[in-house]
Amino acid sequence: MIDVFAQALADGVASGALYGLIALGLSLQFGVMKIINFAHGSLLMVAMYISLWASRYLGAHSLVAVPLVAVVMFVLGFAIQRWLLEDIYRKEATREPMGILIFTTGLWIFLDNLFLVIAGPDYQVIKGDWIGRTTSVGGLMFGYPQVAGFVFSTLTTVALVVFLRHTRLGRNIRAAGQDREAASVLGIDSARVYQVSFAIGLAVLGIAGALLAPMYPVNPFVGDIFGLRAFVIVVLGGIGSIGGAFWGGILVGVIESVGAQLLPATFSEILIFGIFLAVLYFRPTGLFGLEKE
Amino acid sequence: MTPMLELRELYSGYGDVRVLRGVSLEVREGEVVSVVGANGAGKSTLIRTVMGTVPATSGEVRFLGQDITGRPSHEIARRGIAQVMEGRRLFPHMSVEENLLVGGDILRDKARSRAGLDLTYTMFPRLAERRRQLARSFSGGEQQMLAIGRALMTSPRLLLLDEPSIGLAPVVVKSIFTALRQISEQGITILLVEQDVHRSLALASRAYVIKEGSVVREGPSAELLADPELRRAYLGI
Repeated sequence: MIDVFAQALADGVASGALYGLIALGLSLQFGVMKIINFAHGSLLMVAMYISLWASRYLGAHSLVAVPLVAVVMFVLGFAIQRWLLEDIYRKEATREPMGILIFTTGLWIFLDNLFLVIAGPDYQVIKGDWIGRTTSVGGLMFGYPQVAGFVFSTLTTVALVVFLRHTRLGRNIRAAGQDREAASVLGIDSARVYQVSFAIGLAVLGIAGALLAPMYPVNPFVGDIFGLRAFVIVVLGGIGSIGGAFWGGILVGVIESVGAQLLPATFSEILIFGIFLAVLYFRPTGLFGLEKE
Repeated sequence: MTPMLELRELYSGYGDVRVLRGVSLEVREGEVVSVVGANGAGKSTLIRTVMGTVPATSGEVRFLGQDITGRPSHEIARRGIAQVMEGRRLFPHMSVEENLLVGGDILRDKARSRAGLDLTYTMFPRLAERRRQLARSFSGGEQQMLAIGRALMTSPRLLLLDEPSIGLAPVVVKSIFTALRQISEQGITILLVEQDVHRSLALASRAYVIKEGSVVREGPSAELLADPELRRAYLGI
């Protein structure tokens, strides 16, 4: 019995790190631009398809596809911010960016249905020898994709934190997020910062999608559940906090995985969203009280 | 000689509210010029219009002989104007040193940014002692020093100050003005908007008095201070 729980806990931590990574881009975009990108889940779905196609048509190993998907998503993110969101954002600079919220909701539905046409409604899986393999650590069993997901999610999170803290661009992104006008009178081009931030958010999401694709069958609506979960994680971790997204992800992963041992599977959603509502009500700044980036 | 900063018949405001109504003034290289006037006269709007954060509706802002009207703030900053904003506007989740480094980032040169940091710490030793602390844990005076230090980190030709003494204890205000004098002695041109008429006119060589968005008087500071009618009508002293 103990073993079952230990396994569930470890599984929860492993998938939680990946959930955190999915939420990270959303948190970064919100923290810097104060926008809520409702197309986040759909963009994860796009990343998963890119990964699938890279493996199917280019014969790329799904781990080799990770940087490839990240680059494609970075370019896509830059383009979305530069040519779609920027003008809407600028017109709303002096009020709450409600237009962005509505626009990205439209983008979500658009992308889901676009991929329904392109890729069809069926679930598709990535094939590869390594995907079914397992390894055991201290008596616990892990699938290779699960290990890769945990390791690369953690590394990506750490890399992003280091980037934001210790590089000039990272510092400028944080400055613009904390006070846009103060940043601009110090010579920071906020439009450029937003383009780069949105692009980095999607690049990170691309990494997450490519890590998730070997574990989870892809269909045009696969992003919806993960996107929703990302919102929960961002709120749990504290909006705009990178470390918070990571720990929020772990928390959700553990609740889901350990909860499934104790309760019927449907209860885990009730539990997760119950906690989500409670945090919003009692502690809207997030559970961890971590410093916002 | 072309003035460093020149405003010609400048109009600006927020939405339908017109605040500046045809302001013309100039600041020559090396000068300290002060703009005084009552609350709501348009002093802060003047600074913000120069910096491009409030758009000019008509008229012209010229810096070093070039028209910068309507240019984005970050570009104006890169041309050599720095603004110390009203309310300091520090980055609250950053340390003292990070706040300063954001200012230095404009130089795109790590060595120069480091040198600027050393200079700033020499001028404000208090900041050096507390370089790792979060800016928001500071007192008002320390925050103002940090705001000034951060603006200086951009290595500006012209420094705009928007109410640097507001809300500060007299002893702190004194040290802020001492610092401004040092900054001026280093050759940085200063345009100062300030409610503390005595101190700002004592520092500035010339001043403009604005009322309801227009310049009503200008001249050497000593002359303005000596004019009893002006003192009573506009300066409130």
